[in-house]
Amino acid sequence: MVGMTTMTTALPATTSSNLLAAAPACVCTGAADECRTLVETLCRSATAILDDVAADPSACAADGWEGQAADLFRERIAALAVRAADAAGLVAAARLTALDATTVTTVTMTATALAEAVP
Amino acid sequence: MTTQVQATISGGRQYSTADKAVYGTIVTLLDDQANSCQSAASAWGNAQLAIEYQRSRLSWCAAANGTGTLVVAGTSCAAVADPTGAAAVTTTHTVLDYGTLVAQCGDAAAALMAVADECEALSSRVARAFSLYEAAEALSRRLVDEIVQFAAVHSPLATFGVAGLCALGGLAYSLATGDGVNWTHALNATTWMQQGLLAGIGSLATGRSEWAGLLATGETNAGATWLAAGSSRVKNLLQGDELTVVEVEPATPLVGSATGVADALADLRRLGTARLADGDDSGVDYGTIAISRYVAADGTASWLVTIPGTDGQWDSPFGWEQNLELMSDDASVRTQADSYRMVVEAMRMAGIGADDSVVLVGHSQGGIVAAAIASDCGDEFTISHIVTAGSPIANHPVADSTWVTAIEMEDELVAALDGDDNPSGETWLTVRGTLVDGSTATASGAPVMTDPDDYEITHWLEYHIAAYADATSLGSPALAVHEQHFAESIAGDYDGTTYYQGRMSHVESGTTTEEE
Repeated sequence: MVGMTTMTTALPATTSSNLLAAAPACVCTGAADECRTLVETLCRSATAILDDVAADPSACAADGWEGQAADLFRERIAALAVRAADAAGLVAAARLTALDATTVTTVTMTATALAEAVP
Repeated sequence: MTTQVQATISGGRQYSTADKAVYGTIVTLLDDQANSCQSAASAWGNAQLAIEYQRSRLSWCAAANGTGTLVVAGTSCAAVADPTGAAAVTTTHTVLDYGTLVAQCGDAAAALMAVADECEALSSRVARAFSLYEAAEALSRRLVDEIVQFAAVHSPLATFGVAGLCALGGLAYSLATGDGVNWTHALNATTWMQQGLLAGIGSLATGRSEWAGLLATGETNAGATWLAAGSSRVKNLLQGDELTVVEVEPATPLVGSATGVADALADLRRLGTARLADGDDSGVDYGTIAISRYVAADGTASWLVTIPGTDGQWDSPFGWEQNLELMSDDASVRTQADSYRMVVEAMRMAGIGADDSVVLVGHSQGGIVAAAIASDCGDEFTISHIVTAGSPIANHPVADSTWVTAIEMEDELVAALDGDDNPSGETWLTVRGTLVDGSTATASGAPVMTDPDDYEITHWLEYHIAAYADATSLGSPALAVHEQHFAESIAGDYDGTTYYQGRMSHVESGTTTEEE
């Protein structure tokens, strides 16, 4: 880009709208969309799996099994449900981050237009 | 190296079809969940790479730098030579916190993998506690054994060449992993073919055809009979055949009251290590066994005989050659083994009555002696239960009335010397231990009490003790029944332990002896 300068001032509110023209979406928007789609897909799948693990520890209760090892097994099954719920929380956090993208607008101007806009 | 041993259990109490279905369903459910979580964890790991790739595309974005942070938060202005001729161009950007997202994907992957590992560990515990894969494992081992045995008899050179190559591969692995020239790795690499090879050697020694070996068992025991015919003569010439058994008194008690198999194994190890230690002050030397007496409330006596393994001393009844005689398929050969004679003589000296319940606990040769006595001494003693550790006893004709709890390590070789898997039934239970790396977060075995710096042969008793500890921790009902039988077989109060030492010589000593 020839002669580009980066201004750190905000675009003046008085800038005439007829000076502006739309440009193709920036690559960063496409990248964010890709990430959001990917994470949402993974999140749906992982949440379903983890819900299965966390939902019904009694399916693994093994009621006929007695003794210290059996009790320890049932404790670990219960702890597994908690661990699965925690994992689901991490998955949801990643999804929130992916959805939490913000949109900003930049304006690139020719030197002439810039001079007009910023006296 | 953090060494742990993981155990599987075969034999013992047989579970009902309904029980197997219930526990099989749990195992299947947990396995499915483990697989799903593993796949999901893998996908989230890959997502990190995909997001990093998208992040790398931001270098083409005028509003972002390489880290995905906007140069100007909000609106920025740039003066450019615009080829379209427009005075100004607005561009919409999307700001995403890529760094956080990548980290969160990693956290999610790790959490999913942890859930998968726990599902797998729990599934493994149930499967091992209820021996759900016992039949499949036994069948696959039997198939491999028979195929290797067939090959060893049909093409001995080629088969032993393959074994040699496997051993070399193990040695190469040892060198590659920085363990130096460690022959235990070479031995470990041949674990899968050891029983078949030894059965093949037995067939070759006795002239059995490869086809006969496919259906038969006990080839190594027949081979041992053939070998012992010559080796016992040489042994008698070198070592003598006069057995002297005397009572000895240790400086400190080595064998105490046992309430379960684990106690008995710990005492067995204490006796075995004390008698072999150089310069130890236990007062017990090699070739020593212990006999403990228990008295029930009604005055009935029961006994626990603790028998260590081979010590290899020149005048000990627990030498190397005696193993061959003990392994024989001929009772008349087994009962002439010096170690067998010594233990039987000590049992007589201790005053064990014909109706007294006797439990024998032995390591290595001590376990073979136990199995031989349980096979051949039914008229003189009531052997209720034997516990063997690292002993090849699969083909010993142990009486049906005797319960057998056998502990073997997968790669120890010695337990494979019988060339066959142990019988499996209500009264015969086998715990098989496998070494696992205990340094991983998901390790779920029992630790070995003397953790070696290098990989060593697993025939040492501490490995069997760890295998039994892991088996116990599984909560197997089959093992619990054997534990209960063990405890009932020595019911009563502990009434002390007597120690007996055996020596071989060419000349009759005149002390208490057992002669041929």
